[in-house]
Amino acid sequence: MHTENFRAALVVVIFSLVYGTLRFSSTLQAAHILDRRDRVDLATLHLHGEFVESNLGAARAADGPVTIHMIAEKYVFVPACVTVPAGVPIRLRITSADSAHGFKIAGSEVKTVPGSVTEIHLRFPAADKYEFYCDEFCGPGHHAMMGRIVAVSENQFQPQNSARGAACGQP
Amino acid sequence: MDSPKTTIGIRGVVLLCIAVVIFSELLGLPLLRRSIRPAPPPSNFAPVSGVPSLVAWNEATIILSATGNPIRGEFISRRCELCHGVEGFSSRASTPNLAGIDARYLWKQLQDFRSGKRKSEVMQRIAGPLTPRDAADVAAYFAMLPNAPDAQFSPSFPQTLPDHSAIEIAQRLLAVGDPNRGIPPCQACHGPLGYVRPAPSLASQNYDYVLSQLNDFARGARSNDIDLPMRTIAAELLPSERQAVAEFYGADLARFPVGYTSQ
Repeated sequence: MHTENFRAALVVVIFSLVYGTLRFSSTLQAAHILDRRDRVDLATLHLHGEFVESNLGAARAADGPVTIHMIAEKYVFVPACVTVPAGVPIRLRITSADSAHGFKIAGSEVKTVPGSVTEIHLRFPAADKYEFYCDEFCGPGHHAMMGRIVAVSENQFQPQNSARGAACGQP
Repeated sequence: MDSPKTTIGIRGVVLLCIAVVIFSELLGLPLLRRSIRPAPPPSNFAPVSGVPSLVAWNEATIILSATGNPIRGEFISRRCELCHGVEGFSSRASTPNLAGIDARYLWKQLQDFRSGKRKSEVMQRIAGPLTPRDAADVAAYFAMLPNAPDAQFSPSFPQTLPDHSAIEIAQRLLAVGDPNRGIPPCQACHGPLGYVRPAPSLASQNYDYVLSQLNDFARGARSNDIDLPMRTIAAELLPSERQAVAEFYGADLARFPVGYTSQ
C-alpha cells in the first residue's frame, strides 16, 4: 500500500476514472454541441439544408421520432412557438444564427453555438405550455428572448409546416 | 526501496495516462457514431418559395456591401432623388428616408428588390439594372448623408408628436421590449442600445413607412428578413403598439437612447 508503484498505479486509476467520466458522459445521451459531423454553414442557413424556413418547427419523420428544427438568434427563437405531442420522444435540432444562446427545457439544458447543430432528445411529460428564456447572455435584448413549446395530446398534434408560429397552431 | 527497474516512475505514469486517453478515444468512436444520427435532409431541399432572401452573408458580400465608392454612388443616386429626396429625405411619408442608412442594409434591400424577394413594382424596376457593385456604391453614398433633416426639404419628417400614452408605449418597447411576449427592445437591434446588422437605424425614418413595414412583416407580406426576426416580432406586437412605435420614430424622438422607468 505504501510502495511507489502502488501510488503510481493509483494516480493512473484516478486519472482514468476522471477522464473516462468526462469523455463518455459527453458522448452518451447528452446534448451534442460542437460535434464535427454536424456543422452548418451560417451564410447559407436560409438558402438550403435542414434549417430553411419551410423546415422549421415540428415535423414527424418517416422513421419515427418527432423532430423540431429551431434557430436561436438575437433576440428571438424561431419559431417563437412550436406545437409538439406530449409524452413521446422528441428530437430537437437547433442552431444559432449569430452568437451562443441556450435555454432549459423539459429537464434538459440546451446550448446553441453558431456553425454547429445541437441535437438533444426530450420528452414533455404533460400537455402544457413550456416557456423558456435564453440563459446564455447574448446582448441587450437577452432578457426578452423567450420561446414557447406547447405540448398537446398526441392525437391533436399537427406537424407545423410553416415557420411563422407566433401563436401556436396557426398556419 | 524498489530497485529502479521495477518502479513505474513519473514517466511511466505519464505514459500510462496517455495510453488511457488514446484507448478511450478509440473506444469512444463507435459510441459517438451510434448516438448521433444527422437528420435526413428535407424532402424539398431548396424551396425557392420558402427562401427569404438570396443574399448570403459570406466574406465576399460583407466586404462588398460595406465598401462602396460614395462618389460614384452619388452619380448613380441622382435617379433616386425624385422619390427619396435630394438630401435623402423623401417628400412622401410612405417613401423611406435613406439619409444615413446603414450601407449593408441598403445593399441587401437592393439585392432583394432585384431578385423579387422583397416586393415593390417601382423598386424592382429601379434595382434591376443596378449591379451589386452599383448597389454598394449607392449604399455608401446614402450612408454618408447626415440624418438631421432641413425642415424645408423634408415635409414628411419629423411628424407631429404623438399623444402621451403612445409615447409611453413606444418608450417601453424601445427600451425594454416585452419579455412576457418575447419582444426584444427595438433599440437592441436597431440601435443605439445595440446593433444587430443589418438591422437599419430607424431614428430618422418616416412614420408611414415604419408603420407599413411593421404591418407587412406582421402579416407576412414582407418576408425578406433572414431567419424571421422581424416577422416574429411584428406579429407579436399589437396593431396599436406598431402604431405607437411608428409614431415615435416618425416624430424624431429616437435620435438619442430612449430610457424607460416603470411607474
